Amino acid sequence: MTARHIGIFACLLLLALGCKKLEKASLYYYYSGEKIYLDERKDMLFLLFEDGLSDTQKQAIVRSDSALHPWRFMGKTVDGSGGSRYAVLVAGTRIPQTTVNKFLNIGGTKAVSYMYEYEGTPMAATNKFSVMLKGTTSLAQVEDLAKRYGCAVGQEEWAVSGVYVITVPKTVSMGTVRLSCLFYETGLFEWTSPDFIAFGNFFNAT
Amino acid sequence: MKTVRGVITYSSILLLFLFLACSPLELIEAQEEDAAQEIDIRTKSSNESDLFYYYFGEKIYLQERDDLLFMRFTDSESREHFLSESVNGVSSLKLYDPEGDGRFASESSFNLLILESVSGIVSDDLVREINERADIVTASRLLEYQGHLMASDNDFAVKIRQGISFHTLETLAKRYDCLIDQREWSGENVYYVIVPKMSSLNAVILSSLFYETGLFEFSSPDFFAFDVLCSNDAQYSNQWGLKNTGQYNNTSGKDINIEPAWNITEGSSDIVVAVLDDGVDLYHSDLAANLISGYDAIYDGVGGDHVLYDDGHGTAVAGVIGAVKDNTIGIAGVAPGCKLMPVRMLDHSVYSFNNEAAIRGINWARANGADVINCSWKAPSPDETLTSAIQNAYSLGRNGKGCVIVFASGNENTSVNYPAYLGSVIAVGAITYDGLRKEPTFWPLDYWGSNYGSTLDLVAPGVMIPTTERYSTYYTDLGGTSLAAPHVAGVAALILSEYPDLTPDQVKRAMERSADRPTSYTYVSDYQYPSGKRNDQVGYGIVNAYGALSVASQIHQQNIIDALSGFDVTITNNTSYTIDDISVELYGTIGGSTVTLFSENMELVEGGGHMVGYPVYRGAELYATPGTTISNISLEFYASCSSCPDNLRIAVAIDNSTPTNFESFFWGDGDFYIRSLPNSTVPNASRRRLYIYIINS
Repeated sequence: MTARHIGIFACLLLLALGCKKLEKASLYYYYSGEKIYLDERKDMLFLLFEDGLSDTQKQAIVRSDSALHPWRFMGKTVDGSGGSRYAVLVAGTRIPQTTVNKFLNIGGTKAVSYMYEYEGTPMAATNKFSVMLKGTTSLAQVEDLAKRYGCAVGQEEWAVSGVYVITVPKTVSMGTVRLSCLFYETGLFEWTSPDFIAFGNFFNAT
Repeated sequence: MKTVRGVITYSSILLLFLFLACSPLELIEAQEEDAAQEIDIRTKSSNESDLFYYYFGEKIYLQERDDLLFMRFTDSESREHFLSESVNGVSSLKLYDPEGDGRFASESSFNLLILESVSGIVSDDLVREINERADIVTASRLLEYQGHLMASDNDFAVKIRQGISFHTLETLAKRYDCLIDQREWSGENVYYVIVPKMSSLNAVILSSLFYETGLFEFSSPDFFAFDVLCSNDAQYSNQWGLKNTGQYNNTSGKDINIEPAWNITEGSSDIVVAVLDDGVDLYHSDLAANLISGYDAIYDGVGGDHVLYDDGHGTAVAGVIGAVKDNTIGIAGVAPGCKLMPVRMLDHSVYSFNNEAAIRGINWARANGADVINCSWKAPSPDETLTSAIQNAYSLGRNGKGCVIVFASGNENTSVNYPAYLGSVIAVGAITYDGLRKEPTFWPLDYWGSNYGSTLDLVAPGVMIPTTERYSTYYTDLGGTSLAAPHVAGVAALILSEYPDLTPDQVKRAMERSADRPTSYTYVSDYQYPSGKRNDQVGYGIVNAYGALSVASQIHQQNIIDALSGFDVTITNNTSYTIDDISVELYGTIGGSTVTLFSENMELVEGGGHMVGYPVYRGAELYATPGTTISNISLEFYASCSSCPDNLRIAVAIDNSTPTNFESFFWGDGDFYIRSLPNSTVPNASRRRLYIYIINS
């Protein structure tokens, strides 16, 4: 093999790596103490809108970057229309962090993150995760921990008794999933659980 | 001499052995002799229309219709031939057509025919003559029960009592020239006894005689009913899941056995089944009357209506559970007397699943009175909050008794999905109308297969299911474990309608223990599966609504007994005085009647003591279910103490280790002490505790 061949091979390899959109198994969350691994889809961007936005306002956000377009999934366009709280934007290639940052800085969104995949199911984390305190953990400890990351602690109506909800501002760079793991690893909680939105047909009818 | 004696001895021993060995047969013979005696008696009384069969030990009397003849042919061609040749020719018989619609002459899946005597009397000779025909399975006069026309087939079902051998049944059947058959759906120890058509004793009479031998738990004739429709709903005849008559040229009988269950209950309006799905058409003509206020978990508001064009799944699921019955339209739900709570938590706008919405939906259903929660969906990934919400509904719902939660196992032809595999829910797979697990290669030849495995609990019909569709329309052939789960949810609702005291585990156990096991699979016992034998393909088997109600009844009775299975009475004497001749009697009022809760003579050992006793009520007809209040509780305490001063004090408490309210007690020979105690609620615990303390002042 000549040097030329090696060089071509190396270029092709680098090109392939550069095109890599799917990052395998570096991200996880905890369930029953076990790590549940997620694949990150860096070619897909999830936007969770603020409450109360009109479809027009959401469309304006969605169209902020001409390189991205709304994801079409199972015959539906996931662009926030029809009262939906979220949109998913796709590019034919990896979406650079600068683009992600741009959307983070646009008003009207509560969460902006790459999408994930679990066993082939596309998913995204919202801006919340739940925590169940251990018997020895005080609420003050939770609040203190949350405050360090700029998060709010609350109990929402839908949360079961004894469970608190941590709201993660979109400025927290590590994102909801990683933060939920960090909280779990402090040992203060029975469990922590990110709030996901998954896409697919979850019915069992044909 | 020695030898003779030895022979005599050995002969005696042999004779004794033979006598002992033959005893069981002699017993059978004796019982059969008794049965024969009964035959003579019955024959005499048959002229007096004393025809009956046994149902739970009670006689159900039938009337014979002297004017109507019932015939069952071997095949449809014979039936058609008879109709065209015999009936339309010169005949003493004519077609029975009381309403002029010809339905009794129309095609019959069982090749039946009902004819009416021209003269008004169907003679014994005519019945005999018809039965002599080679193309006749059985013929007899028609029967009537409470105005409804019936006919007995040529067989009856018996269930052998525990400890009785199959050989005993064989011997008894042989005596009457009967054959024995065991059918796939008939259950353990249940056999069909086939009566020869020329027998002088028909199947109804013989079934009663068999029952009266005491060898069988039940003995039940196999009837055809004619003008009693279990449902007048237009599409009921297509609902093979409820009544499988071979609608798809398949083996009949593989269904959830709903019709006898409906004889017990069609559901109570006090029982609510939450349909957690994409909403339900609140205005559907076959659902609206059974719907109560619902919730939209996606928008967090009142609702539950289907919102989007694609939101039809929940309407279909709701129909299987609780479509209105006997309104002449559409279908009949499994539990049509129960209420449906629509909870929209699945968003079809973008085909998404949000944990928060699902959790919100479950919590709302639990908090707002759902007894059963049906979830014909899967979650995309395991989630602690969702698991926790499910667990909370399972343990905290129904004011602490727990909600029954039913999940579809999934359609991926692999292991059971999450959350269906959780132990706190019931995972339901789908079967075809042949009673087999739906696999991708089975008809209908579509791509899906019912998930299976070690966490599968039950199976239910899940292909070609007619059910409600939005805008007051109907599906005719929907499939999936989504449709199987609501069959089980409906049966769970029927169980709770009759026995609301049952916990979710008890409801699950009732269905598992009574499930029908298709014979195509091998079942094994495992200590991990307490409800009996199972198979990973079909779990414990096909849910059997009637069987489940029967088992639930037994569990319910045990709950009652467990609730008041005894009182532990502890008397602690903390004085230095000897107290003896103690007797304790405890009375209370339950359901308006005074009941003796405890009555025992007791002994104290040195330094204190106790004695465990049982309530006398067991001999009475009164029961109390958990949650019942026992009021007007009074204690009568008898004791004697010759040297006790007058200033000893006594206190009593129920289910409380710390006595309060010590009162003075005056002693003398045969003194007694009466005390009223506060009302108490019967707990689920098996025993109550009464503490009596005696102390110095």
